[in-house]
Amino acid sequence: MTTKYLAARNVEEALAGLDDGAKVLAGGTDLMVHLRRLRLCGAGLPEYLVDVTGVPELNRLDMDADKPFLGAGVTFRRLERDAAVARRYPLLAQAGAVVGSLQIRNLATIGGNVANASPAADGLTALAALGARAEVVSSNGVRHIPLEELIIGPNTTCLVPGDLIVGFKLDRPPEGSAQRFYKVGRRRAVVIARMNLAVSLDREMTDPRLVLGACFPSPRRMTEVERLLASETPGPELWREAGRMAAEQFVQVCGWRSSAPYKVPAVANLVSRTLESTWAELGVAG
Amino acid sequence: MTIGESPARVGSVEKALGRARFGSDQGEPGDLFLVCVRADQAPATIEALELDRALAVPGVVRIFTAADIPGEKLLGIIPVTKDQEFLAENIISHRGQAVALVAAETEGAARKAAQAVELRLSALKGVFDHREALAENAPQVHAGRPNGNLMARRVIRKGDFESALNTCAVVHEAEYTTSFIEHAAMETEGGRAWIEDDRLIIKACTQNPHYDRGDTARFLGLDPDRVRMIQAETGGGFGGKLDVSVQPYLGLAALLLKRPVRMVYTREESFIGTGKRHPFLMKCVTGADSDGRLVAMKMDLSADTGAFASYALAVASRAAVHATGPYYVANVEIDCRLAYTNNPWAGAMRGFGVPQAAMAHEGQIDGIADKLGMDRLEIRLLNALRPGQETATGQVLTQSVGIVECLERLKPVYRTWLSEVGPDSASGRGVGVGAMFYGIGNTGVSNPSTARLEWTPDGRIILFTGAADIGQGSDTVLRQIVGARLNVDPERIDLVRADTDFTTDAGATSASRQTYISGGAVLEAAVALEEMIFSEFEDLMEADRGDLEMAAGRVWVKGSPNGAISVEEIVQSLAQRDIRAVGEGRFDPATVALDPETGQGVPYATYAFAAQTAMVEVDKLTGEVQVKRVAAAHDVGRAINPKCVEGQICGGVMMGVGMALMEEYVPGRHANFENYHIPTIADMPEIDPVIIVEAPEESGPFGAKGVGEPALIPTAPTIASAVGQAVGRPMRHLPISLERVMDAVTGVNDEN
Repeated sequence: MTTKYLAARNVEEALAGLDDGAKVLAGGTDLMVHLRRLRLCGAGLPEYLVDVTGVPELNRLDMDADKPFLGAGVTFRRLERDAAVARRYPLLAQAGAVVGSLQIRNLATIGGNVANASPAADGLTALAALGARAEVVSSNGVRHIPLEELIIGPNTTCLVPGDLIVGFKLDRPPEGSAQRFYKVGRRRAVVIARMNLAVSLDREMTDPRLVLGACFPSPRRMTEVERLLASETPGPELWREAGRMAAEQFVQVCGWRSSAPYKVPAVANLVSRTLESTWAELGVAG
Repeated sequence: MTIGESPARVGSVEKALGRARFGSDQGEPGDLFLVCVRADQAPATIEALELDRALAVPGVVRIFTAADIPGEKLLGIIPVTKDQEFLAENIISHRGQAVALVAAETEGAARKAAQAVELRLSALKGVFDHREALAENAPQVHAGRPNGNLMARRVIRKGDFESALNTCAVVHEAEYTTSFIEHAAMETEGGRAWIEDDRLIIKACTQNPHYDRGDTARFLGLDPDRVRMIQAETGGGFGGKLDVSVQPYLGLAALLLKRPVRMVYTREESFIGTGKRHPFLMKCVTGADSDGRLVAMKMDLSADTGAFASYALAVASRAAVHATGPYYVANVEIDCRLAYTNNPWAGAMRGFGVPQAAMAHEGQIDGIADKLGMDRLEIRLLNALRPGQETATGQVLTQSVGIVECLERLKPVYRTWLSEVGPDSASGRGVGVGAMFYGIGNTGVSNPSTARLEWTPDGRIILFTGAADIGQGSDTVLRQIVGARLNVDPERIDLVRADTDFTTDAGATSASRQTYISGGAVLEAAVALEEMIFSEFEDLMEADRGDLEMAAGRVWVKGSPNGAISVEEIVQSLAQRDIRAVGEGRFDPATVALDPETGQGVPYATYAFAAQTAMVEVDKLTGEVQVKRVAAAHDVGRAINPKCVEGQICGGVMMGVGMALMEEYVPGRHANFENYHIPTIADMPEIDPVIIVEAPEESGPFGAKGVGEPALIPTAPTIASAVGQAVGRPMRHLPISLERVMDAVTGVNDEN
């Protein structure tokens, strides 16, 4: 049996092609690796690949709307280079710039990154900090699923065959926010994150965001740390305390894993340094 | 004159345009495809190998097992240590060892059938640590060996270590470790075989076509004359294509099926089914006087050779011979032992144990420098070998010793970088320095190269060489040598390369030996051809022999260019008497075998020398290391082609960055590039300057030595030295991972 390729021109065509034997092709930088593995071990391949990268709705990028929308088919390269993304969501642009390599970024899409649901996905960490809600369509209609409900475990989502992620609605950060994305890897490109971190702060600390990836079953909003940031006086003390708390939560959730001797100090350091530099960018006097 | 110029590489246009056909590109429609069935557990006894289900897969033609091997079952690169079963008969020695070979009409069918082979194993007790392997009562990897798991041992004794150590003002003691490393050549192993006129022809990527023919013929029980081995374009080797890989399988299937067959390893097979770099544990004691002069050095080196010997004897000798580094040390005690384990076999990889040993000698000299408060480059200069001094094997170096010049020329760069970084390590930046020496050619054994050069009556100049160009540039360099000697444009010279029907043995493309040794053979062939042409000119023109000149295909008596005649006329005149204008050359560097008790001898006729410096930036909060800059000074004797030399140096530095910071093959965990990291271009430092030092070697062609492996050797210790300076603690274990840097920063596992 050979796998058939279907290039969908619109959402309807995509949905028509998506059944039990089909896989969504949204760039393919994870999917093709997966299919190669199946082929080498003699396992069955999907009957259809439904290429959704040509569907206009999935390529919509509307950063300036009241309800900003990011199409699932937008490539990381586009996130890296788009002026509106850089203006509204610098952490998304920064994340886009460190995914894989240039060749991968030209193909890989944010929706594919989410659907693959790697615990270390750079795109997921970034989206989690922006409160992303996925817009999922199927023949039964449209659902809006918050990211934390969509991702139910390492490389596992709640999506079922026939579902298609169209895009993501994002929170609008408070005016004058500063954002940072940082990735630690074993080399400087084409690497799965050892840790990644997304931070968004505003001068009033009305809605601080902090997400840590590659440390938990899926990238995690550090809500207790966020509450701490919102309630205490910004400054070196607070950054240190936030780092310490993030590391503590890592141990609480994951236990003392073999990676802990590295990750505990690294998480604490990375969190406090990133908070410090993000805050510095806001230029708050005193 | 073309020596010292950099003409375009032979074949570069074809490669740039994607027209070159590598081993893995070989094949024609209708070829059968071969796939190995590999065991995923070891050590183990084969209880059953059921083929019925696999044979029923549509398209399967035949499945071979050990019982089908017509000849010798044990193969191996070193004649006295052939121990590798290419199709396991009873025992699986390492995970990934092949037990059967499927031939099918398509690759898909072959892979499907390979999955369908039912292999039942019963586990045996194994040993996976080379120190445990040498303990009493350790499980034996190969039964019935008098030395048990001890595969290779090399001892070097010079002077009196113990008494000398007592006189030392400062003593430094430390341990170093390195990891298994995968070659990661861009092209995986691949090739094609077919039968023509009742002879077996194999075209595959390789570093070693003449050896391949011999071992494949043994495996098949054929006279070597009935096997022709042709080197396909080879996409990198780094030592990984010195042992045979696909060749015996291709030969077996083509011979027994009488059909053309092809085989290409997947990246996974290339990871689990081929050799690795030996991981080493090195325990060192070094003593120096109060001026920093090295007085005594003791090293206990041990390494894991995995399930098979491969190049273990060579690695044991090389690591030991080079363990003192490019320094004069009067009192030496070195013990190097390589043990069998049930890990994947380790074999040749760029440097044969010397990159590992360099971690130890460079770490030790840094340790002495730090204890005495000396500058790290100055202490190397103080101890660097000079003409007239002896190496650890008692070899007196008389000429072509360029280490002092390497260090001197590197010094201004090193000083500038040190001052940029500043004395304290608050910036997270550090500067390191490292040095090495490396014997060119095989260790203490004859390793000749031969070559043939013909000037045909129709004016072609054809160089026949068995030397495999695997991307390093020997095709280009060997033509330059001929061109320079015969005063013709190298572009005019046709090349017949690495085809056992037409070329004679040039030895392996390994040990950094092709420029020096095959270059020597080619030069001698050119001299012989010139001699023949001159002597015919003499007869024709009744001229005086001593006064002849040749250029651009013409010969004349000095001062009378008007009386020139073309070489073609001379060659045609020879042809009338049925004499072909052929020059043959052979070069075998003079060596003296190492004494088995003391390791004294002359292992190599000449040595390359090098020093490098690196500036790194360490993120002490996350453990990330970025190598910002590297400068490299290499004594190559003479750079026949400076661009090729620079290319080797840059490639070597890149491989060194990988060895230093990220490469570690863990059997069972790594099988492709998904999680086995080699450096990307984003990880590369600026490499500037590249300083080519030329301390000419008397026995080398136009003074040349070699650079292939030396390019890599100093890099990892140099980076380790720089990271150590940045974090304030020595880095003795490779790779210098995020975790190891964090440990160093936080003081975990502190050895001091």
